[in-house]
Amino acid sequence: MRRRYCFGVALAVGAFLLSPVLTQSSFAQAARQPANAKDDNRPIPRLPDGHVSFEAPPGEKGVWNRQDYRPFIPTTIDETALRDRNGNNNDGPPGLKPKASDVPFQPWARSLFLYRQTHEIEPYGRCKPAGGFRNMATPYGTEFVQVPEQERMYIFQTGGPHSFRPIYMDGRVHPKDSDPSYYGHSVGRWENDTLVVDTVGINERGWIDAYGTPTTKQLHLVEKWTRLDFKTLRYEITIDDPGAYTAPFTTGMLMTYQPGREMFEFVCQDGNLGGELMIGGGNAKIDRSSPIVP
Amino acid sequence: MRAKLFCVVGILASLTLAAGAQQGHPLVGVWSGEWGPTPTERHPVVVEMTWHDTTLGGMINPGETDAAQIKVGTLNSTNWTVHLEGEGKDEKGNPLKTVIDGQVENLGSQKRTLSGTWMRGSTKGTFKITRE
Repeated sequence: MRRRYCFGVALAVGAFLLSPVLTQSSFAQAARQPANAKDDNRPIPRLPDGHVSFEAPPGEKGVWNRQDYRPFIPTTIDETALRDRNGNNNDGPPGLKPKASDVPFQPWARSLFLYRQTHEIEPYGRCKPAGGFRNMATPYGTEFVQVPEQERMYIFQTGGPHSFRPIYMDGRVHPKDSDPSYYGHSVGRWENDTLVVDTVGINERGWIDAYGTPTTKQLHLVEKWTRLDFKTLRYEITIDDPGAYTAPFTTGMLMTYQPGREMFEFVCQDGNLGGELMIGGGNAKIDRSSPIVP
Repeated sequence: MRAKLFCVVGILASLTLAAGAQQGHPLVGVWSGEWGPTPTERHPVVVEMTWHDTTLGGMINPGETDAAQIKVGTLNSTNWTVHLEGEGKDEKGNPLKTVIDGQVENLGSQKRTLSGTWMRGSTKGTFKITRE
């Protein structure tokens, strides 16, 4: 009798603890139903000034989500991150990403890149901002806010540090002596219907993608966004860093517009399980010796 | 000298802590520790390393009378070994060459270490420094 009572209590407690998960899961399922799915073939929206809009149409909700988040296609097991060794990946159309073996790494950068495929302690997973590719490959969605009357735009990300980066569209040039920062200094322009953003001044405290592609303070990024159709955004990034590579190279990914979704409050520091998620299970150890988050 | 070097280490370490973790070239930054010819004779040291394009540079014991500019710096990233040659002056103003050969350990850690042999002039010893 006592055993049955304990079992009942345990069941009730378990159901109570699971309820938020079930609720969130149901919510997520509901959120995955595109509110405007029937309108996915709509023309590419434009702002009053004629430029392509990356925003949700007026009166609607919507965010952009990555279709994948790795920068290179591995050709060997050494080039393959632990989390990708099950083979489940979507690398987009041919030609979008280079093979890892074709990336013009300097020797130290390639060695460090290979090392990080099995030592995946990514700063972003510990709530640090990350520019470039990782900024767009954030989980839970990215939102663009275009403010043509102020000649600037902003890119907001839900996941990671839940932060934003401004892009100045007013023709200004990069400051000559700015302090390096996580996102750097970005200026943008339109080339027909493609948004082109030039960024310098990125510090060496983050990774520019989830795979530990090394960069130095000499990093110069050129990012391009092209809305291929209503629901697809092509993101292309050229990495020019003479401190880590022998030549510039380009990679990219596709992003999908997800109508009906919107950004939500995401506090990375609350219950962050990133450390375990990033090191590939119980095979690796996290160095907790640092008094500050590495 | 020890107090002055301690002060330099403190200032550099404070600056580095404020700067956060280094995720770029793994040698870049301020490293501190000690070297010595015997297990009992040890001296505090600071090595600040820089990287530009393909050149490893920096200073050994910056701010000290025996400060030495790194003239030769190489990293073998297949096994993460480092060779440094610094040229400076001793306390009497005579030319002094320092040659360091070390092995990077705990590469992924913010507190990665470099240890090996340290030649100061004709005096040979061992060293271990930790990235601040």
